[in-house]
Amino acid sequence: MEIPKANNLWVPYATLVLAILLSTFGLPGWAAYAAPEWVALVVIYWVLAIPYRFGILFAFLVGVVMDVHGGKPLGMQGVAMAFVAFTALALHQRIRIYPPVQQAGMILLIIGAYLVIKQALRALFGAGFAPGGLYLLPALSSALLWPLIYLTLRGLRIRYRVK
Amino acid sequence: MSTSLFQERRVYGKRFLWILLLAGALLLADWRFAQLEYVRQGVSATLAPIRLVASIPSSIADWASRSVASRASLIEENAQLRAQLFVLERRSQQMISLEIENRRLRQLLNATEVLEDRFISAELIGVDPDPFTHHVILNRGTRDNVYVGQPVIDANGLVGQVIEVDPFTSRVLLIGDANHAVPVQVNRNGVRTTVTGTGDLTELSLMFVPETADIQEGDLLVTSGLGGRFPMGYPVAEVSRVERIPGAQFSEVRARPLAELDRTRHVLLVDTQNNNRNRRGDTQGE
Repeated sequence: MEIPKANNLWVPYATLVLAILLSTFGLPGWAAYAAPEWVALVVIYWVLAIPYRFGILFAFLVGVVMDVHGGKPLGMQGVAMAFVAFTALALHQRIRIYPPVQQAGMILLIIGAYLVIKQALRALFGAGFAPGGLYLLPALSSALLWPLIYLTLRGLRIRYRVK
Repeated sequence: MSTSLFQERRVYGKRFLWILLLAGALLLADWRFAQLEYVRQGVSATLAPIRLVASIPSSIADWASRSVASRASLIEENAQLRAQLFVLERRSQQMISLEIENRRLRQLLNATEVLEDRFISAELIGVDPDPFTHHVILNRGTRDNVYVGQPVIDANGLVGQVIEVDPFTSRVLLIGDANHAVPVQVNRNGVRTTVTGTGDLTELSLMFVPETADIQEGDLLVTSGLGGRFPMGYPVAEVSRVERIPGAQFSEVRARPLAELDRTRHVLLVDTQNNNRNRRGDTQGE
């Protein structure tokens, strides 16, 4: 595949910083359990849109930064994030032609698997306590948010001609 | 042509495996060796602006509520604070003489001197959004001589301890976190025990309390100073429920933390390292 010349690559990074910022805001009470996985969603979008630039290593590094940000063992979220990028890459040709609502179904599955991996590693390293299946809630909220995020980021990508 | 379309997938799988190996090595290194702490500090320092920006909305709300407070409510608050100050001043009047008396008696008993702790005030600038852990972020870092393991208190009692520092901010593990434990003693009679978090910020649990231990509802638990991490004598919690289960080896004891773990904004960092340094200096001088 011929790779086009890089253009406006700061846009994806800016959206990532924004996503990290959004994930830093705590939600009150029970809503905290359903906080969407902003960063994972943004990573998925850029991997789907520009797979020749944003891949597994990129996602892994973003995960490590999130680990530092959240005070977790380094690489814990990195592994989960790399898995997200791997599934998105492996399926990107299929997901790209789906309408946003059908994409949301795939997002539900990917984020769900991501949360299971995160939870397993969390249990392994003793980093936090989770009662029951509550930890899967963010998959639902992330899937619901996906069409909005997809359309926003796509608008940005087309407007700034990110390649 | 159709084979080349899906050839990439195998490449992705190989790449993913490499990354998994890399991540495993990183996790192992982070777990076993301290050197990665510098990497963490560096990345954390670059993320500090994000934390500061994230704290802006709450500081704006704070500032707004302060600047639009009515004159009447300010006067009322002022009067309340004055009354409180009066009570506290009365209590501290005899403090100096009592302190000297205490020191003299300790000398008579040949006990080691208890030194006064130093404090740095700090403000809470963020709460970890992860609902399964209880971490908060303070606006003090290595620049202000904050160190890992430093105890944190508020006006009412023990809040937690510092678990991570970067130059500008520090991360505090609250005593309500399920991963936290603190050695305490009952203020009434000196019975030693350990208080652990439950994951619920309004309830703590006492570990391994024998059936026969003299612990009652309403007992004040203070830090015992054992373990060397927390200085002695800071209030931690009040026993709220004692349940003796027939046949069980230990009784189930619950306590309510005294510090306002979910509300407090201003905290104090207790400088115990400085004390140790002074103490060493004292003994050398003798």
